[in-house]
Amino acid sequence: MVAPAIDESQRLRALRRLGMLDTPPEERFDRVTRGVARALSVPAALISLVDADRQWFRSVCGVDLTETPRNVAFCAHVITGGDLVIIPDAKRDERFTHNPLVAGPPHIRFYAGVPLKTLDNFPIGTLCVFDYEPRKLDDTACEVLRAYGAWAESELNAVEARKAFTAAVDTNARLGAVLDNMSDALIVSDADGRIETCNAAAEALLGFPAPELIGASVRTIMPEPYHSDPHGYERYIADYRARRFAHGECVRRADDVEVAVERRVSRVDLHDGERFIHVIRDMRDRNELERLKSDFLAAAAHELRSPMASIYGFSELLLNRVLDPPRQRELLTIVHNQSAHMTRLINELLDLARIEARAGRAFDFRIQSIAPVIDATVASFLVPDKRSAVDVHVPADLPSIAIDADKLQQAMTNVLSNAYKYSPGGGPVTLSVMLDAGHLRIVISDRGVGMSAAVVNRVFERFYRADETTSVRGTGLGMTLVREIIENHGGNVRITSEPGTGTEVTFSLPLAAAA
Amino acid sequence: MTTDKILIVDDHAELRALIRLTLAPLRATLLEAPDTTIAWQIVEQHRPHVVVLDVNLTKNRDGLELCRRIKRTPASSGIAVVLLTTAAQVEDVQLGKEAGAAAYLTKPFSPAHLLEVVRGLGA
Repeated sequence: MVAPAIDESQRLRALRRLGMLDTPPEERFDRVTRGVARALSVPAALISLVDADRQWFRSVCGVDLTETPRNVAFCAHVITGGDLVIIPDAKRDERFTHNPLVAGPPHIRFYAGVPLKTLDNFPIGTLCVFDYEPRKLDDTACEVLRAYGAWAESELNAVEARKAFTAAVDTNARLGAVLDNMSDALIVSDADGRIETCNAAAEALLGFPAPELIGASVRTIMPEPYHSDPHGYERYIADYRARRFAHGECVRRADDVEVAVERRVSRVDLHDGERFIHVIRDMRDRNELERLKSDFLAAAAHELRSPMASIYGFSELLLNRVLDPPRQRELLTIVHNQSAHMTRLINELLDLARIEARAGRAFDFRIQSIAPVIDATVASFLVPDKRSAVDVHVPADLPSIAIDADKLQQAMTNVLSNAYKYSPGGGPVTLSVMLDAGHLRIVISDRGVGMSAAVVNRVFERFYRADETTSVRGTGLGMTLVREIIENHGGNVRITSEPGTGTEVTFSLPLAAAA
Repeated sequence: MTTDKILIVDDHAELRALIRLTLAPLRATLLEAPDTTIAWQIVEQHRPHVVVLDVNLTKNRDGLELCRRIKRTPASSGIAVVLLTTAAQVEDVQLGKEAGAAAYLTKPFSPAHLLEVVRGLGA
């Protein structure tokens, strides 16, 4: 047998990687050389590492050597041969007759050695025995030598093996953690359509625990027509190869419900066959979001067209009809008010869209004291004519809190404005701040008309207006904005109200708010 | 057909005022309703000749439903319904026609055009 040529520089790199050269003796290697010498009744045994131009002995038994030049080494032959080498009588072997170790001390006559390989299969040394008399090695003795060789090899590779094992376990754990933290479901199937791997998102999306998924046919999770077709998997692969997968697909859950997903399939060739990687994204939320967006746009268009209809219609009447000056003034007032209303509506729509589109990034959170923010809010709030100012109660020594001052001011202003609007009979409007269980609470209350439970349930709804009859209508977005702002602070808004008694709006802001 | 009695149904007070002013030259009796419940009561009691009706009175678009009710009730089926809507989509026009509307205007609308449409119903 001709051994495959070995790349010497790679072989040397593998040897150096072990970090064994020129290290002190170790009992775990000496046990091997002592054992093999005794087992084969030979005077000397060595573990030799074949370096670039020397052989260095990791362990010696029965002879006093540390290293020899490579050009005189028997072991070099074992490494190039790749297998057990036996030299019954070196003196009668023309390759070794003139070898200084044969011709001179220690006068070696018999030699036998097996190669020792690294984990990546590079022969880097030998376990060898020798004698000063010629001898033969029977099959049993060869077996013994090979067995001790395997032991020496595992000792040489022990550290690397442990490292490789730890690394494999670690890599597995890391990959597992990454896969299980993916928001998309991941399924890997083999060439026969058996599921081999799945992640936590796949378990959650499909409603099957991993042990039920692994080993099951991919058909289990395929929608119709694949699911009930005994050849569903083959059809699926055929469709895959023909790239006939449409977007807006489904997967079938454990409860037989088919849910909308976006699926991407890719193929990889592994050393033991092909695999299909299915990345499955749950599209239900996205579809729901699209629907909400389109509803919102439709509602926004409706809300904008109503004031526009007034402006357009009244201005046309003003242009085309002869009206007396008081009438003209009346119509112009409507046009003016409706333009103002439309402006408010557009501003609030844009505020809301900005906050939602940027998912919290529109906020500039700073850790600060709340008192100046409340002072600024109350100072800039326009109290309606003939009404008393906001009654403010802010305790001293409040802890600092992460807030966006401008946004919080906007939220408080919206609620204060409602408090005055819905307490037309007068009565105080108060704003109090208090600390409670890790939260800072801002409470704005009025003694106005209040709301029924049904109305309270709807106040956060976009474009919902509690009272359509007031002369200057709100946009129906004020409380929606308030909630967006407070929830972006990690807090919540609570409303308690009773018709005829008044309304209390509470913002709870966590003191350890995630900024 | 006469246009002596006209019912205006819209949830926005200023739009009712606009329509009222628009139709003033007809010298008809103008009735108003802010929602479909009141509108139906007026239809039953006063039998207007024309109803100018906002489709999107609520999110449920119950203006369309009121139109259907007027047209399928024998006593009121002769009433001409002019639908006003913020929606300007083809399918909405189709829905309006199916509901039995005589005319369909989208907001913002031209008062002169509305007057012409209502006048045309009386011709």
